Amino acid sequence: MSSHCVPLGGAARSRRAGRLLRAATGVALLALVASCGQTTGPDVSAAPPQESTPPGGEQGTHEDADDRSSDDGLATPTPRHGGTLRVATTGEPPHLDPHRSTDTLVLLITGHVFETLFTSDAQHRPTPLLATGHEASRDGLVHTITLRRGVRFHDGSLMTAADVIASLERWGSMSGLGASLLAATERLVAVDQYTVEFRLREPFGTLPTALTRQLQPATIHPAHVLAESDRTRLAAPVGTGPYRLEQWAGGRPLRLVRFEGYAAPLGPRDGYAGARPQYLDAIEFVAMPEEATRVAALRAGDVHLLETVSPDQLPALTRDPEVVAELAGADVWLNLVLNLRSPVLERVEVRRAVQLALDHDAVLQAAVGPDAYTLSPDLLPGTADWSSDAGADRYHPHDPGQARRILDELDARGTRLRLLTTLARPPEHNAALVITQQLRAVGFDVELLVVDTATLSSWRADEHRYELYLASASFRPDPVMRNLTASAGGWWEDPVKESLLDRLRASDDLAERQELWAQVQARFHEDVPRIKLGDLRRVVAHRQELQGLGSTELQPDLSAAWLAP
Amino acid sequence: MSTGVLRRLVAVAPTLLVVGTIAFLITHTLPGDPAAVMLGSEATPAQVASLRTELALDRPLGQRYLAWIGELARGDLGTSVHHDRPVSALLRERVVPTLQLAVAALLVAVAVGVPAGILASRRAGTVLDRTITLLATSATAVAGFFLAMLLILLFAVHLGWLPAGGSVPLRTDPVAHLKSMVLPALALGLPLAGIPARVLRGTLLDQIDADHIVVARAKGMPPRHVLLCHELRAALVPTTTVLGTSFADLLGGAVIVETVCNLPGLGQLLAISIGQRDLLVIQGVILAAAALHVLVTLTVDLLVSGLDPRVDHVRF
Repeated sequence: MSSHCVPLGGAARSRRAGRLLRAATGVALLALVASCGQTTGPDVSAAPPQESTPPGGEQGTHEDADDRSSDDGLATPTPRHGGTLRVATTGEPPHLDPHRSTDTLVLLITGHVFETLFTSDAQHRPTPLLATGHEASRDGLVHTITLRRGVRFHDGSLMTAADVIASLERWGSMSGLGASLLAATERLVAVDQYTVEFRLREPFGTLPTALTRQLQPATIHPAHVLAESDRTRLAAPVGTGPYRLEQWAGGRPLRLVRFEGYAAPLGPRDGYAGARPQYLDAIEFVAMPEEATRVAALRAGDVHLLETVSPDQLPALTRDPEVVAELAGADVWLNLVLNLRSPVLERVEVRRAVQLALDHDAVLQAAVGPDAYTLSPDLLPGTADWSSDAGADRYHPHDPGQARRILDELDARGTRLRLLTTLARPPEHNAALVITQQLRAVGFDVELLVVDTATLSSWRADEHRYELYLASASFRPDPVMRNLTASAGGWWEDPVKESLLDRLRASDDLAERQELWAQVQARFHEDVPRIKLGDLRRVVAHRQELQGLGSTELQPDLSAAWLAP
Repeated sequence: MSTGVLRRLVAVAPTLLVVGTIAFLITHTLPGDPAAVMLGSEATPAQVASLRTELALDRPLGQRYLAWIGELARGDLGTSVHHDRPVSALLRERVVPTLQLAVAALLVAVAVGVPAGILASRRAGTVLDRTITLLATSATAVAGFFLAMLLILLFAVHLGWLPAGGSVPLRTDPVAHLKSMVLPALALGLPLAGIPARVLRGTLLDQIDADHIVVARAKGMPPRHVLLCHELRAALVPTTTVLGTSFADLLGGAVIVETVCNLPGLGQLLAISIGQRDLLVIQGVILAAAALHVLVTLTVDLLVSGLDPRVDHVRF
């Protein structure tokens, strides 16, 4: 039947059809080339090493930028007021209640809306922000914090001691560290409108540290807002920060705008401390769950900064002249959490066999590539004060033969281990694949359970669900913020360690605390409640025009950032 | 017909009840809950357990189902745990971009698929026909997210003609709004274009030897008129039916394309809510999608009966 339909003049039409086919093939090839540009390219090692330069370090000094020239006569860029900075995030925040979340995205956003009494300087030491100072009595049982005057919330009300006390009480009911502080506190007293006094039952030498910027921070909110809030809900996102929430609805970008009534702190930029000049008119956080979309948006100029990106994307990003992409210092660590309530892993010998089976290099190369990790026993990487070699002899022993011998002695060959991980965090998932093989090689029967993030978060709270899971420990500037208590995942219960942690919280003597922390670290590697695999270097990627990014280890503070023309 | 339509409309309620019940059971038997997500990945097990109690997530399943059905009967879809807003308000905001995307994708499918189908049927057996058939078959096999990524890389990253993602409200900037819809519409519409192309080609070829076409040609009617007045008219019914069914399916495809292209529609809301285990929102989106599906199917049936009076109305 179709032969009836073949038209005359077929030769000419065939030529046209041929041209059409060639054009279509060309478009397809162009698209494929484009996709290849995304996924292939030189090895990560081709990226220029940037370890010693902090992101944003090209601005040099963290100084409150004014017109000035450097010593070599080259003019430094002059900060420019105005513009809207767009940040591509991995998703929407679950909420904007900093008291309630250990989520880094919540800290990234709310760090511009809410403020804490203290913040961290470049050495990660507490520096006043909403406070003006702190004094402790000789016996360490009374801590007096004076507040800055004239600080207004976004709703126009003045911040007073009543707001601070209401905020600290709510934070203490929700955060583990806050609960420790309030447990040690007999009374919180408003001495006057601008003075708050902690009257303690027992010394808590790290009190200012506990009140600094961190995940789940002790942010200050108006007392009248907290009166309408509860532990599951913050009534309104009203803070004292340099930006206030303008819009977060309907799938539109979450938009913060400059708070004109901001009581700006003074002094040069120093880590997260110092001036917050509010150069930007607005900051928008655009949820882009797909990493490839985030990278494409950055390269296309639709966004200026990525919340996070995996090292796999580094080659494509470093080739783009419009983009700055660099590896930050190694300040996040990947670890294998062991369920110490599991009948299998409650025996330290079995835990040691797991420890001996693992080749951390192979695991971390699979996780993040060859240049984006370092091996160290440090439990607080990225901090100068807390670096320690304690426990190094137990860290990364890698002796599969010894692991097999231990299992044989215990008659534990074939022991079943359920390993939880999620595809949503590719480094953890890739590491889990290698760990599975390495554990199987010494005689464990490993079942790899790949689930989504919500399931992982839920299952890891259930001691019957797993033996092992992969986790990333984010940057913490001080040991009191690293939860190694029995309440953390894995249930590491050890009276000696708990005693060390208690003394660490109570002391305000840096040398003594460093010694105590070294003992905790040694015990960690010896008792094997978790296996620290190594420190990961984050990729920080932004457009060339974004300047003044500053520190990023506790999420960027964009209140000193600006957009070059 | 009006009785038939009324009967179909009455059947919507039990259909939605069944869909809603299945959605409820699936969402509530999924592992993971909002408490763990809200507290973040470094929360302690004790904190998660405490928040679960405060959010009443530890109540028995039956109790939660009855409470939800009771609220549903009053027209209340509940309040989102994460957004702290009524689910119905979220749906109202998100349904517009999704419908816009679906309509735009349908237009792309028609604009590409119909001419391609006609061309292939007119040049049946030639290289052009085989090429179109190959492309049409390949298009239906291409995953929307893959095509979306290729289009973003080509038109946003390399050529810089269109935004890589996101959406600008129509009232804020109509031009930017239209530009933001182009890539998602192409990503969703191009794979769909293969369906009308193939259906149309086959139907038109079937028409060539039909009596009324032969008579029309014998009477000296120009080929263009034969095509437009007789062949295409007969091909409209199967093509409309296929496109109508595909339109309903577009709502499913929108989950992926909206996520990749960062379009704030129902699909993206569903994807994010699943990740956050915002159970009431998941149930609300599924109910909304089911309602849209039922309405679109009914509309297509009415259209088909209008296009072809031979269609038996009794089946309504």
